[in-house]
Amino acid sequence: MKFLLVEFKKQKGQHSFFLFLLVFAFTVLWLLWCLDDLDFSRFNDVTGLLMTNLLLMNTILLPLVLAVFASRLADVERLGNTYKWLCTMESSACIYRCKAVVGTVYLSVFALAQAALFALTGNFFVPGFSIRYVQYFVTLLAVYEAVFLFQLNLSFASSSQLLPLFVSVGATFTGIFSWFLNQYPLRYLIPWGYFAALCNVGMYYQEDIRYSTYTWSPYPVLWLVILLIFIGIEYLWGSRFFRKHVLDF
Amino acid sequence: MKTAIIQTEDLTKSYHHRPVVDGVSLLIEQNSIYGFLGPNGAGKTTTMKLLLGLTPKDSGSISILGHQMNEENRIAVLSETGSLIENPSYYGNLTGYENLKISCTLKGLPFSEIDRVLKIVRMDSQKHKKASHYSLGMKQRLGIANALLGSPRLLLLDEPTNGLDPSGIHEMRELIKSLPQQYGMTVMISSHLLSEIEQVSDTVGIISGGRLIYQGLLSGLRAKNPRFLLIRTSDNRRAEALIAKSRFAHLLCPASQDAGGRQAAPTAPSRTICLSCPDDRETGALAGFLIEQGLAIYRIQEQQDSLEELYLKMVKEVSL
Repeated sequence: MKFLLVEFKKQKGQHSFFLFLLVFAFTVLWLLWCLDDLDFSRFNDVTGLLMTNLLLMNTILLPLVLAVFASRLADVERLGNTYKWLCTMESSACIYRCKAVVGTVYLSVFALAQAALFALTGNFFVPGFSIRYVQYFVTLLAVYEAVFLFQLNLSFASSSQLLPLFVSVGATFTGIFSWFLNQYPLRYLIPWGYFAALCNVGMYYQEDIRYSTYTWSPYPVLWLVILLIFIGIEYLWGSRFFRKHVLDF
Repeated sequence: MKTAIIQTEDLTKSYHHRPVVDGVSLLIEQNSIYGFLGPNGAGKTTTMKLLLGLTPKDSGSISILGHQMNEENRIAVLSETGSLIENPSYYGNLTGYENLKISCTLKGLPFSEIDRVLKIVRMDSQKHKKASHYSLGMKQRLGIANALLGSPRLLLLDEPTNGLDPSGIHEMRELIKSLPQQYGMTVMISSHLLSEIEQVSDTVGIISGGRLIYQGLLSGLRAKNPRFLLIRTSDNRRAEALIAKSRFAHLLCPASQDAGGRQAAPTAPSRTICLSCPDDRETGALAGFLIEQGLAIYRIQEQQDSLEELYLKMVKEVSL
């Protein structure tokens, strides 16, 4: 527990909370702008529309945000040359684990806030609890975790923190392509594509009458399991790599 | 006999098949200040990292504070150890005080320790300043303060005076010298400067090319250092020939040398005759003999390499 506490203390002055708050505020504004000129005669399901829009926003914004967040977690040690100090007091496996847990705590709060935003907005139009809010939370948390661990490992593995940032910019584009190129399996091959892969709402746009039909399908549990396995592999590989190379960083 | 605080046997570490620590057997006794000397790249830092388990050894054994160190007990053994390896470690986004709080939390020490160590390194007035705003010297002091937390039994300091100004170096030296008596600590301090080590420690280990070429008291190192008698006369060539035929012949060095011990032309009139240093009585007799032979003695001078020169010679011999 003390190791975790220390990891949180290191976050002081890193403005990570502010970073997520800013993104959340931006998402709220974006959503309000979407809802501002909403014409209910042109689509059948407001929750379907909200979910696809929110996931799309996440696909665009989160790769960069998570890259910055993971990079800060790794860089705070590298800049201060702290590994050889820490490694006399705690094991390298513990350092990696604490970083992963701290990241997960931040991401859980952020995903929860987003799920609450979805639930609040959804309730405004369709009152009552829906399992879709929970599914949305699970989707966000799983994809965030997969992308975060990928970026954390990349930050540890590369001496320049620009590489993870460049990767995240590319990730945003491939993430967007994964939404619109659904005839290709791209969304299943990259962690950023799972915002689309785990989205269980489909949209059919009829151009002649300019009407969008949202249809819900069962939650893709199989792809969620695959993503969770990928997260497990990322964690194990990252932990092993970190233990082996921690003092080379 | 004092207890060994650090004892290594045939400690070896190679990088890319090149040994950087080659069969090093250290013996550091309790309450001593052990100076670990060697030129840059000799293997000092790697040895210290091996002692702290920060890099895995290839072979050999390490015993610290009476425990054979391995991966399982490393953290427990190091709980009674403070260290400063290479550059100081710090979190730039935190103040000096907060940095030390991290160590206290991890080591399970009370926060009251922080003010104590900050006072020792004279950093108490700077404790609420962000570490990123510290000068290199202040960062170094913070690193020392960190190492002193909890009054560890063993302190490993790798070139601790790096980045300090002359007064800072003096303060640091006085602080290190006081640690064994005041706090019962054993200190291992590395440096590439003999002059620095000479002022704080009485036991040294000299490493070069990864091999420990000397370990023992500084006085022992001094004893290894031969003294010469340099004589300058009105006719050095004749004086040398006379000495060679006299009862003083055994004193002649194989070839006369200049004051630095380097080979020099023995007959050059401006040079000196080099003799193994005789005792006072023999020196007097030799002077009398030369005067009897009609030679004027301009200068008789005793010469000994400085410890620094001896150290450099030893290091050079190994690297050849």
